[in-house]
Amino acid sequence: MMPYRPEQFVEVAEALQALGIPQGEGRYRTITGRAYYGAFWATCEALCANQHINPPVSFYHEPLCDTLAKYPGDEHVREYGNLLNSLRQQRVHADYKLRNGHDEDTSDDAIADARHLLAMLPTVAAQFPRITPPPPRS
Amino acid sequence: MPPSKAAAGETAESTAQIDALTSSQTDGAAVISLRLPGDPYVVRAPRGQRETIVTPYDLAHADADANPVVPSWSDPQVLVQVYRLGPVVDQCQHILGVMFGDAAVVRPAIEPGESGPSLVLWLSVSRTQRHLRHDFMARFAREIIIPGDAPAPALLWEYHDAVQT
Repeated sequence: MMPYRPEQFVEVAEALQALGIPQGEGRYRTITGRAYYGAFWATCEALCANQHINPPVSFYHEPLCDTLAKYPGDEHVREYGNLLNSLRQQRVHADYKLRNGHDEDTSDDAIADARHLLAMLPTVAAQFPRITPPPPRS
Repeated sequence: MPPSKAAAGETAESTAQIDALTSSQTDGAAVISLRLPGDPYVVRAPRGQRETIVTPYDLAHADADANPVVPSWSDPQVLVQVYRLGPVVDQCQHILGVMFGDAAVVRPAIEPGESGPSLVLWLSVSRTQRHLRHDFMARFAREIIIPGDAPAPALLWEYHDAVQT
C-alpha cells in the first residue's frame, strides 16, 4: 500500500476551495477529523457550561478522554468517554498515520460515533466530573 | 582493545559504577545494572535507538535535564502487565465473544500518544456486525472500570472480512 502523500492534504483543501468533493483517502481522513472535532468541542462546551467557564475553552484531548472513560461514578460517562477516546485515536490515525490506509468504513464509523456522542450529550453531560482546563496562554 | 581509563582522562572515582550483565558484540546493545538504590537498570539499545531505564521508582513526576520522563513502551503486553490491565483485556474479549461470536478477537497494540505511547485494543469482528458497535461500548462501560492509574485504552474496530478497495 502506498503511503498517503502530504501533498494530498493540500489537494483536499483545493477541492473544497473549488466547491468540489475530495475523493478517496483524503476524503475519508478529512471526514474522520471533522467528526472528531465536532464531538470534542461539543464536549468542551458542555464541560464549560457545567463549570461556569465563559467563553468555553479547549481541554487537553487525551486527559479529557481518559478522565471520562475511567470515571467510576457513572457508566454512561464511561461509555461516552470510551467512544470519544476511540474517535480521538482514529483522528490521530487520519492525520498522522500516513503509511496506514484510512478507508470508507472507518470514516463512516467516525460519523456514526460522532452522531451517537452528540445524541448522548444532553443527558450525560450533567453527570460529567469536574475537569480542570489547561491554564490560559499568556 | 579499548583505551585505558587513565588514557581517557578518567579516574575510578569519577566513573559511574556499572555492571554490564549482558551485551552484544555486534550492535552495542547491553543491559547494565546501576549501583544506585532501587536496583535500576539501563537497557542500552543498539545504535540509533532510544535507551531505556527499568526501575521500580515512580517516574511520573521525574525529569531528566528539564525534560519529562515518558515511558517508551513497544510491547503492548508489557503495558498491560505494568498497569494490571490483564483482567480488562480478558473481560473485553469475553464481552466481544458473547456479542460477536467466537471469530471476534481482541488484539492489543501500542500507538503514539500525547503523553507517551498509549494502549489500543483492536476489536476484530465481521463487517456485517458493525451495527452492534455502540451496544458493545455500552456494555463495556457498564461492566469494566479501568484502574485509575492506568491509561484508558482506545477501542478501535477492524473488519476481518472487509473487501479492500
